[in-house]
Amino acid sequence: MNQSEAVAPRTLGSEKPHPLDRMSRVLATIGGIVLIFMMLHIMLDVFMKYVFSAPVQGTLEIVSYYYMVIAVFLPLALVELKREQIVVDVFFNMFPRSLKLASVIFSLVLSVAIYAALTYRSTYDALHAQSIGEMAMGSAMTIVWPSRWALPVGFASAGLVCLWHLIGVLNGRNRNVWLEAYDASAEYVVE
Amino acid sequence: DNFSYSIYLSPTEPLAAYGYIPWAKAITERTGGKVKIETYLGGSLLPARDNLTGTRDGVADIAMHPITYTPSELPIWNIIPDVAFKFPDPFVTAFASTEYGLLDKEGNGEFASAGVVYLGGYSTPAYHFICRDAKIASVADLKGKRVRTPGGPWSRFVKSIGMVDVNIPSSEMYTAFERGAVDCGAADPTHLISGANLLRVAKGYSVMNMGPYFAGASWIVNPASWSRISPENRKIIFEESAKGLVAAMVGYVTKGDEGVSQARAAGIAMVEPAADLTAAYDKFVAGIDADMVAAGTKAGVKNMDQEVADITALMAKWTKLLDGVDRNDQAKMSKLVWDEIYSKLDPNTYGVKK
Amino acid sequence: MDRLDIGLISVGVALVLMAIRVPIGLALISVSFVGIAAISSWKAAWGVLSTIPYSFIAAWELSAVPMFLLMGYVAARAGITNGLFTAMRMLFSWVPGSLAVASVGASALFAAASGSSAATSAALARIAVPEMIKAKYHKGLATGTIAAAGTLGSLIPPSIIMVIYGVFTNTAIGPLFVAGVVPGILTAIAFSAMIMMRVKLNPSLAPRSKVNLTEEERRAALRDIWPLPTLILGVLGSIMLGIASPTEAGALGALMAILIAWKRRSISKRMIWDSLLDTAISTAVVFFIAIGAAMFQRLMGISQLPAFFSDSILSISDNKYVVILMIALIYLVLGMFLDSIGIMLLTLPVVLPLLVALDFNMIWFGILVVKLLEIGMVTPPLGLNVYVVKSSLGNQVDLMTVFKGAGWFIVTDLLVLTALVAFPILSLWLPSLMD
Ligand code: NA
Ligand code: NA
Repeated sequence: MNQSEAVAPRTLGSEKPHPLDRMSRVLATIGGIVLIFMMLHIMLDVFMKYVFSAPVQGTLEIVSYYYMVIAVFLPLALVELKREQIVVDVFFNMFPRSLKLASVIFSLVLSVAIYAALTYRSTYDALHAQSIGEMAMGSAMTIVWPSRWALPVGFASAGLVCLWHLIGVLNGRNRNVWLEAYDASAEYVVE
Repeated sequence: DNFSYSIYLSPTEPLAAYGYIPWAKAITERTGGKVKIETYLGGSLLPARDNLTGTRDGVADIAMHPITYTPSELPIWNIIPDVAFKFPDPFVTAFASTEYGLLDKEGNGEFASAGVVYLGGYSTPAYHFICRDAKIASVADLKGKRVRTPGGPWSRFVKSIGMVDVNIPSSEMYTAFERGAVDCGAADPTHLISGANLLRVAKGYSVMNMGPYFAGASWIVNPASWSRISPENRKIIFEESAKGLVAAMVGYVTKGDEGVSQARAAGIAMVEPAADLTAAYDKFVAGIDADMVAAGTKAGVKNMDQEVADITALMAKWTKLLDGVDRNDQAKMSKLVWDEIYSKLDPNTYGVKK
Repeated sequence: MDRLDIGLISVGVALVLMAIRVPIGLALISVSFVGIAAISSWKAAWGVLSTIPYSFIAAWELSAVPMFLLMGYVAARAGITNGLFTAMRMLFSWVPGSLAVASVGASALFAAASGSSAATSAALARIAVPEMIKAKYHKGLATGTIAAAGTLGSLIPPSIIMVIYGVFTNTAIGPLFVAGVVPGILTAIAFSAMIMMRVKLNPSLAPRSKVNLTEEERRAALRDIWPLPTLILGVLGSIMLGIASPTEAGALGALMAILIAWKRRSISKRMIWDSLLDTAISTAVVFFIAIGAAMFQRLMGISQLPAFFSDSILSISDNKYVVILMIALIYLVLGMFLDSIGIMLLTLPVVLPLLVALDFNMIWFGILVVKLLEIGMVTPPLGLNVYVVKSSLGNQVDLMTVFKGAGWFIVTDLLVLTALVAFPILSLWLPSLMD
């Protein structure tokens, strides 16, 4: 917890949050709100199915192609910002400081590179899907291309955050935080 | 040279077991390993919906592609399945659609524009209502029942008789059926004994034939991979495709017949449609040409009426060709498919990048 | 270099990357990308990078995961567990080591409202451990109990690990959930029996504590306990009766948790907000790894390593039990160092052909996998549940004490595992009733 606070960017001497912080939170919040919609939509479908024998048409498509995609990709920036990605640090903790630093830099460079590649490719795919007006065939045809844009947005924002981390490690601003062990109390609620 | 063949079906499903796996083996053997085809089953190389883009991008060299996943990329192919309501024989639809895909300018061109080389189709056995209940003869019986359809014309038909189309993934079909989340499935009879395995939970089977689903490709090939193959070996692939298509169809249809006979043995009612249901069905069928043209126009297809006429003509042609042919005589049907379709392809030029 | 070599090297590189603290998902994505390019082509590698993230996520089956995560976060934040431990204390006050046994019981119940095992440990650690330490329980016993009993969170449905296992192995998730119930209860009973036996032999481990509760407190506890059984009934009941698919049950559970919180007036804007943000983060974290694993599965497929691995194991022995023993050893070793979803996703593509070749029942094997992974949650040096318990207690107890305390439970778990292997019916009986 305290660690993620320490890593999260704040503009010194100002009440205003850092733009990256604000961007990440906004994106993750959209992801969270979508989950509420998903819950209500599914419940409405179940209710209509059993009570009125009239399921909400397109539930399966909307849940799969919209809610899931938005909820998974938009929060990635906040995940990177709070360093919530799951890592193995038993070995890392035994490394000497120089090796730790090398590992951290390598890992962040790799993150930036992979996010860049994912952003590039998913932008291309989103443009293509949009140009053909991508649809899915269920009991009705559903337009699905708009949510494709959640991928480039999520990947690019996460990549930016990693780049920001990398700069922080290189110029020393956040170096020590990154060389410490992960705080086990940092909400490992995943499994 | 290795060629990966992505099949989203499990190895025991009839198309794979009788058609695709032997096809890959035969080509590997006959080309002396020059075209070594490795099958990736169960979607282990590409998920079902990504076979078109994955083959285009070279993730797989060859793939089986169910067209319903890509309506935007293959608009004509996603509209013509309706025609099966008029030609409910799966052998006819399989062979006619293969001819349409290989020899018709637009039918072939749509695959070419999507970036792949088409090599042949397939067809499911005809769809029927399989229900939890045996009282399914009349429109009144069916009205209000929740039915799982694969979409497309089946969805429109069931809605036209007042049934409720419930879209659930096929993986949840058995459970949904068993617990009454759905009352019926519009499915081919192989689903009685494999796939959704409905035999244990069904009570009624409507003998009303709602046509097969035929608009899938057994083989689409990455253009660069296809160009890598020598013309002699391409000819071998054509020959094996004619045989493989027939073998796959005989296996699939036989499995469907087996499903029906097991259902009968298990005491599932074989329900004849009442007059009003037949009338509703005929009325729907009478409107499908107009429906297809409207859908095509909406999807931006030029001259959809011409395509409807082309595919209808091919269906009629194959109905005639297969008239009186024993559906277990694989040699005879393979020869027909070869003579009428594959022999007309030039192995030096077909699908080859210039 | 042939593709088998590239496959092997890829596995090695993935492990090295993880060891230098590259996030697991990222390690899998990068290794798959380069590996596929090396075996096939760059075009194919870009193709996989393009298709998998979207196609894998845009799927109905996986949508159960965020719903169960949401349910768990709301349930924990709304204090739905508060009355649980007190009620269990009252119920088990007469047995040796009553507080520890009560903790196991409370964990088992909480597990039915939580999809994850670390969340179960975290919830109980804050309530139960301080009580046990106050009652002068041995610290290892107190903390080990919570760390180990937390693993019930993944075994007793709902279970996020099971959803992901089901999707990757094409196994129906509903029956898989139901299959976890008996093994979960069996584990809870075995844990309790072991605690009672240890305390019987060495009473100083857990001094007998009186339940000093006023009548008013007792009533309050009983009044407080209803939310959990209600949630369990709603979620498990709807799955078992087949009214709802796992996703629908998850949505129902999340909605019920919110409504219960509202009824108990423990809801606040802040709480909902925090739960949503936590759910969004966890959803992204889990699926980022799963995307990496889905790509890795493609790499494994084209490298033919799994087939090779499967043939090699079968050439040693094609006896089911020998194979399971070998797989179990692999899981236990990996469980010492890796996160559980990571292990599962890393190994499934490799062992799957083997399971198919031996015609294993995938539901039964799924339960064994969950059990093995959960043992890894309490083994050193990386034992997430142990860390969770330790971190919620601060300096009151050192890490080795918790690991040692959990050691007894690992031994018990191995016995339960043996029973599950020997008697598949323990896992398969309940789902068979669904037919
Ligand atoms: Na659980
Ligand atoms: Na461990």
